Amino acid sequence: METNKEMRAQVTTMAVIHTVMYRRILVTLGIALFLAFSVLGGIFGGHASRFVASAHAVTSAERVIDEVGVLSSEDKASLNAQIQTVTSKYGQDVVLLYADLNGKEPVERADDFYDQGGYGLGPNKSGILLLIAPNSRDWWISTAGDSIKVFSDRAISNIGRAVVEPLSESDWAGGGRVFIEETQRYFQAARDGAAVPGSTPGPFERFFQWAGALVAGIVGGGGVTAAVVDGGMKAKMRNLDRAPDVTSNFLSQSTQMAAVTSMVLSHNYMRVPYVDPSENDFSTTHTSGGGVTHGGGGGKF
Amino acid sequence: MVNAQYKCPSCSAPIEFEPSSGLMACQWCLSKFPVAEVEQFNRKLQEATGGGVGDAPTWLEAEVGVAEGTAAQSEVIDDFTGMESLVCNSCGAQIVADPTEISMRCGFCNNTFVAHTRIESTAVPDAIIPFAIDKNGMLAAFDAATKGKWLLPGPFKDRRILAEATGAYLPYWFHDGEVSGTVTMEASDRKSWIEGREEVIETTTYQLSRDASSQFRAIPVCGTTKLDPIRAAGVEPFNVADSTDFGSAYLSGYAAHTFDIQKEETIAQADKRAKEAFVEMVRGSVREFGNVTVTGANLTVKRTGIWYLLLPVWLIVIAYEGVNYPFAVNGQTGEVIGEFPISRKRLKAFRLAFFIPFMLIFGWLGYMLMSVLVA
Repeated sequence: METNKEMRAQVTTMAVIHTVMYRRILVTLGIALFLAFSVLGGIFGGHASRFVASAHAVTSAERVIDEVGVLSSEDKASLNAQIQTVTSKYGQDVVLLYADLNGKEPVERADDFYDQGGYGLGPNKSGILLLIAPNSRDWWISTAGDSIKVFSDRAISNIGRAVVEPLSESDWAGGGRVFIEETQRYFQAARDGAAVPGSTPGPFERFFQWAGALVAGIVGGGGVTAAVVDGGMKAKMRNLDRAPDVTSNFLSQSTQMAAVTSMVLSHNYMRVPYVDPSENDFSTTHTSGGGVTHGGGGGKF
Repeated sequence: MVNAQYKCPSCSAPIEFEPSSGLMACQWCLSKFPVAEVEQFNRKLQEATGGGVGDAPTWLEAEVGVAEGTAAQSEVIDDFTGMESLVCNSCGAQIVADPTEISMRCGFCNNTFVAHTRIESTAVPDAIIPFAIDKNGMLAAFDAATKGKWLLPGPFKDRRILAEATGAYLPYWFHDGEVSGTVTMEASDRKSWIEGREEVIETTTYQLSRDASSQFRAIPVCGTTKLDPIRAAGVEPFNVADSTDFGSAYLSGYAAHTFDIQKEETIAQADKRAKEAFVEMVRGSVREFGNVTVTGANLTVKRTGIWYLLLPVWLIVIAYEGVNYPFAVNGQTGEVIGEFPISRKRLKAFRLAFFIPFMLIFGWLGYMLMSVLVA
């Protein structure tokens, strides 16, 4: 009996030992596979298309940083969740920074925070950051990597106009939400290869749009009407006093023309902004203190 | 020759020049003769009768014993306008004639006569361009001129009335000469290149000058005040190559005027036209530079000849809705000169038809442009 018990105990011990060994092997294999995929991901991740959305693993770092305490924890969580959706879908980072300038220019503050915080996705560290400084009422958008091309100067200006509206009413979370929505629209447009959508015009823009339409309509419509009806049709009704040109009365064989003498009277140079026709829009860039190329723009609210 | 009413060599009835055939045509016996043959026949007839031909009208003074009438011998019945009175020997009616008329119709018997005495007392034309289109041709030319005139009142074609139609030979002075001198011009060339985000545009302005000379032939200036200057210039051009030696028989059937503007008085106008055309010719010859504009010209005209031509013009009056519209029609080419009536309703309708769609198109463009600018 005892022998049987000992034998069963030995078998059980052996089974436990085997089970532990199998687990260790599996764990080791899992770690090895994880490491292998991590390395491969690091190598081949760089070949991802610039604007192609891929389910990038977003680092767990906070994307909404509130250094001045203007956001509630609910707003912060909600904004973070919104950003998570965008970054996962488009593979470019979105960061919201509520902070003071700490004696820096808005551009330096935003660029440095982005560079030093290790933000940006993909090999080019692509992403966009909005700095909101509630105390000095500054805003600045900093772009990096592939996001520089996505957010042209005009796009940044459009987004700025959109976010200024809630920010000027101290709606800090609202400004953040508008920013994330706008970045999503531009990411989508870039992915579709479509024209970058304009921002919703405000009353000022609307006034100029309609004023332009009215003036151009009256001047253009009136001009064409005057040219066709009055200059063409009406002028045809009266053909008095039109002495024909008598150039044909000159005898060409008798015509003698000396060489043209010419003298330069003046040289004038004019410089006008040039837009490459192949580009619809362009992004101006600068280099941050950390030596990283950024695009961006900003203003007051 | 004295004042003559041209007779048909076949039946001795009045005979007139027929534009469509270029011959003298008798409306009575339907015979047609070359102009030279009719002139020769009538010259012989004149010699045989020892004076005026057949029923040729005479000046009023001739009736009271004054020998062969001339413009100077005629009775001046209106000192202010210089109108003179003649008697038609065909029907005995009194014809009141402008002193510049050298061919006219009797308003009563419709016979025409040519006042040779007046022609000889002023100047015999160097050449004449005979009528190439008759009355029907003129009306067809007028109809053709109304085509494509969208503002013409709808009923104009049916309700218009040809109130008057006179085929008239009008005197023109033709100038020959040479223009020479220097034309100064300005021209500009534009180059551009890209430097970074800027386009650099270089505009170079040049002062140019060119010495040139050229001979001109047959620049016309109207020699009568009977056709107002705006119509006189508009009725050109005439093809001088179709002119022929003057023969008074061409005038038969048409009104004709001798000049009342002396050739010396037309020199300035002819020179002006010659210089303008010469300057344009020189400007057009400069191909090495772009945007050439004339800034000045120092030109002289050396005249080599001025000659006197009678040119064919139909003077017509179209009556429509109680208003008379005078037109001149080139008797050689059918070019119609005048002012056509305009339908106000059509004018408004066309203005609206063009304004509304183009206002919308330009409005949309303006809206888009402003959207880009304010974006």
